[in-house]
Amino acid sequence: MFRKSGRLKLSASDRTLKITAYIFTALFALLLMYPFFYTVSNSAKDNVKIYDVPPKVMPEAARSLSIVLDYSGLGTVGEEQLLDKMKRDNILAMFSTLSEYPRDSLFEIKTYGVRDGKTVFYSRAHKMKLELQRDFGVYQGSAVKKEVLLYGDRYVKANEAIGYEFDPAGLNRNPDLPKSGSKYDSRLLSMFADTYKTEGAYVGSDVTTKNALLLESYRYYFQLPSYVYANNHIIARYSFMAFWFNTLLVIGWAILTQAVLCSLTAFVISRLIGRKAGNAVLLYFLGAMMIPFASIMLPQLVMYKEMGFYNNYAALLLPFLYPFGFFVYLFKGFFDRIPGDYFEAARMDGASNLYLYAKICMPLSKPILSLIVLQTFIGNWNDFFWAWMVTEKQNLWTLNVALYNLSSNGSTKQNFIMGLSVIMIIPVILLTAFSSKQLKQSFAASGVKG
Amino acid sequence: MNRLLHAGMNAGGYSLRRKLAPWLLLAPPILLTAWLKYYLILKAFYMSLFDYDPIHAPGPFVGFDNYARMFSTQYYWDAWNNTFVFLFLTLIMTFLIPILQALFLNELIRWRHVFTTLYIVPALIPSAVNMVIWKWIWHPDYGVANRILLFFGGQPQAWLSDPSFTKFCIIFPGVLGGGLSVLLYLSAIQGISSDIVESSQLDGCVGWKRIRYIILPNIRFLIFIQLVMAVIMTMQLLDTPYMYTSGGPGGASTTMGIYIYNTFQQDFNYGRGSAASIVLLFVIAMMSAIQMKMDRSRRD
Repeated sequence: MFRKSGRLKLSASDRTLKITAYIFTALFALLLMYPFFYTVSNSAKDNVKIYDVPPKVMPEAARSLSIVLDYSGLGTVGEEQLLDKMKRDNILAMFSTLSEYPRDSLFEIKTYGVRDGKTVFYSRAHKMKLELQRDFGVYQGSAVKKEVLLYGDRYVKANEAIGYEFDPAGLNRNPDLPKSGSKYDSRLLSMFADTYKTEGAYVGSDVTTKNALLLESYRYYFQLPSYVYANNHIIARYSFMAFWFNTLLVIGWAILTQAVLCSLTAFVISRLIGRKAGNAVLLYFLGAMMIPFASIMLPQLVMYKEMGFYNNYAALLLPFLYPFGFFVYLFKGFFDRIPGDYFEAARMDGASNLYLYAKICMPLSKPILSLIVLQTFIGNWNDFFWAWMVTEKQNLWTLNVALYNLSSNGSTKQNFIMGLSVIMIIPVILLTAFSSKQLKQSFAASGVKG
Repeated sequence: MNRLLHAGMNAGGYSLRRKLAPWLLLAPPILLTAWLKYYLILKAFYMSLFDYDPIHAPGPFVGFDNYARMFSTQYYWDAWNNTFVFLFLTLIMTFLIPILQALFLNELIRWRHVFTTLYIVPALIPSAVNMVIWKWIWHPDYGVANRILLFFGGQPQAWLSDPSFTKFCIIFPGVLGGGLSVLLYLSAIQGISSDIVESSQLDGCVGWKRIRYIILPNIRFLIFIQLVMAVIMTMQLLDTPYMYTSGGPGGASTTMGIYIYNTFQQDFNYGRGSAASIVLLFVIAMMSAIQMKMDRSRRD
């Protein structure tokens, strides 16, 4: 309505108002988006660059390093022995470059083992995969040194985790080394001859820029929980998905209980009991909704613990098993507006109360149901404290609890945490984009209260 | 509906069943609410009268000693003080901005839909993600906040680790996250009867005047409700300061909620924690009562 009138007549006062409105809104929108860009940009940095002072706005380009080692000079060795040597060299090559070139944005390291002109061994690892192995995996809590890297059967396990290809008859992978050599040649040559002495002889290396590697990082960010909480077999297997599952389970359960309990309660209040009794009952439910969580969390925790509802799904789900007063109020207002003739006609035919509820009220209340779904989702999506208080087992954590715990864990790197944040934000953006219309309608409808 | 009831009454013995049936249906929700909500208040009050021992419940009866001792500790009053500073900051920083945003959004002719959607997104970001992002922004060494300060020639600050800044830093992200309130205000503004607006326009009430004399008076009640809700929400503030600083540094962000949590989770003083819960409930109930009274006076 303002739109039309605005077009018809634009006075000076109106014009300044419109200009101010556009400037204010645009500036605020920029301010709102800044934290997103900040998070995305930070999550694309590596664990060294993210701690740079002063911090850079954009992450650096990602590079891929190929290292070629030659085993022709070994003489005759058995297949097993050759593989073993290559595995050792592979681990040495990967972890040493990672620790010797922390600032070079080497996001991918490939090692080629050649023998008599054929590529027999090939392995490839993303930087973040190696970081995970170094911080939480095979090499947890140890310094990068030759003795440490090759200690016991660690290098075998590390190779299993990273993955490799080996075929004494030759693999179909050929390193493409630049004729002029690479800037890493002299340093790598001395490294592999001395500090990290490899069995194979260093042939050469190649560095290329590959920005897609920045995206691949998110795959390993996603795997972070399964490394940090490797002792929990559910997290070890499903990683971040377990937290998604818990969050969706809690929200789904909340939506289900609220939809059923609130509509049933509202149906009885609206249609089956007198106006006075109905208002009293409604007030009872609205009052329960107003009880602040902070003032009942202690007795709630004590009571739930007494019943054994602690550190299990019951503790997460039970708090939703009562009708939320505001939704009862919304449903009641909606049912009050359904014409009485519907009910009378059905009653004449001998319909029971439950029939009236299930066949008349519910099919008509789709708009209010979608409102409740959205508002329950928003309300519980941010829920943290109760879930945090009653869960010790990691496989019960919701997304909020998990991210909080991961971020307060001293050994996780900030870029991993930022990456997980991005993974959590993206569904929100998609959801908002797809349901913004329903959201607006839902808030317009609930604004009736005000 | 009444006609239906009368019809039922004529049927004699059938009427009792008809009268009882609704209450049988209502019984589960009423009992569940009593059990999961109202009973807990009684339990909190009961626990506050004991030197509560969770293993050999309830422990020795101490009457109102828990309250008396709690009122005599400085830490308790510090927590109230912090809570009210948080309240003050919330009102001046995050309460007014959604109103401004909605007023200006309403003036937009193009792009309104896009901007509204943009406003909603930050409001839906999970609190832990917000915490991660903003803790990094406020980071004294690696964060962007100090970069901006330095750019304008200021001195770098410790932000969250500085007791005089920590409350500001915890509330500030809320400035960007008011999108859902914006939706409420916007729908209220667009719900103003077009007759009022058009007739006022003929009288020359356009632009800023329209906001001042037509829109604001018409959404005054929603603003008031939102104000009361904001007060009630801030009084029980718990998650956000806990996530950012766990109540620190040196108790500078310990709200009443965190005080209660620390009392039973760190000091294992269940009795005092319950006493603090009851006092908090009482204070919030008083505020809700004022709200309901205002609500009623408007309807009359």
